[in-house]
Amino acid sequence: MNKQEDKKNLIIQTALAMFLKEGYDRVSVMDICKTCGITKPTFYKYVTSKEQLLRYYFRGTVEDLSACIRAMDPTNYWEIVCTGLTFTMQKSVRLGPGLYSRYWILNFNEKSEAPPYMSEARTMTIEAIQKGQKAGQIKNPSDPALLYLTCRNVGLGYALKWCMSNGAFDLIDRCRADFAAILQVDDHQQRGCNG
Amino acid sequence: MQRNNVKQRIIDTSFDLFREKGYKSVSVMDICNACGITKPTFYKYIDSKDSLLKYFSSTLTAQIPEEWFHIGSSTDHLQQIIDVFDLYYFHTEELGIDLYTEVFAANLKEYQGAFNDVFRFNAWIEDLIRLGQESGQIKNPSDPHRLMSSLIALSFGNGAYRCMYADPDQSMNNLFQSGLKAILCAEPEEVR
Repeated sequence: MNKQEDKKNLIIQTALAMFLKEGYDRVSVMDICKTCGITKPTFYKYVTSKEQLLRYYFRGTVEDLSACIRAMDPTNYWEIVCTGLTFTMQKSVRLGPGLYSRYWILNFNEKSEAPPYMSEARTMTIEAIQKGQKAGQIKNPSDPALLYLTCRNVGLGYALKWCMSNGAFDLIDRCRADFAAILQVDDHQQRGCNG
Repeated sequence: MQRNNVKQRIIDTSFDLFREKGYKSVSVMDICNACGITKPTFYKYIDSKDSLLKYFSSTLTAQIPEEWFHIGSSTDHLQQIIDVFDLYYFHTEELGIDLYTEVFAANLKEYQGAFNDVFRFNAWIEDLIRLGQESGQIKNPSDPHRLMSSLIALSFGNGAYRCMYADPDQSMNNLFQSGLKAILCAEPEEVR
């Protein structure tokens, strides 16, 4: 940890805490600077824009997910698949609907060159779908990569609805129940799930 | 009646202009000029340019012909489900990805009802899933209500995915249809 990194982290952590407490729109770059005790030029030395601060919240998520999957029971394919599909979402829900909406707007405004959902965790989740099919835990026989993309987009649809409805339902529960119906996972497989 | 006519004309004209010139380059003044009305008249009917976007879906649902809601003699219920969503995606592709992106962004800033559930539409999809399961065409035996809900979520999520990542190799509808078949474990009759 060097001094530069320390300062950058201070700005990011302070800003995210302020967004969560006061709402993204009500916090200006100047407010963040004041709280951190820095000037605007210093702020922009470390961070390109206010929007980019939201991106930092998700830094390391994909790596965390890979580590999380590696630590799981390797034969409980349904649980691995569910984790693979909802991990980022669980982190997002903690932002609350207002801030999570902001994050989506950011994504909509910056059209991505590469398809989303590309990561080591994606590969691991698809593998778990395939193994789950062979083991009979997952009875939907469709192509595992297609099932992965489809479930991700069902989840994306619910996430957007969750944001637009100001968090009117339990996003993770809803997604787990739908993924179980889509993948055709028996009730007794869905440990801890509201099916 | 007169009121409704003016409002509907503003909505129709603005969507034509958005499609032609792109949402961002059309001003309220442009819409007024094209409709032959003044700005105060515009604001009498419409709150803001952004609020026009809430009619994105209602302009679509208004287009669904009445006879679509009759099962008729067709036994290919999967194809019937595909046809309804076809209409949704045709409408969306016609208006353009840019405008669709604006609809998402505007509704995330302040929800305007563009993605409200249309209960009649949902109930109909659910019925078709149930019939398809009974005839054996749809092999996923899960609760039809939940499967319907998944398909509706997929149609939004898939649209959003296309807004965030424009894959030139796959149209929005192709992507949706392959997902739909994977969920329901079904193929249309002509393919079987």
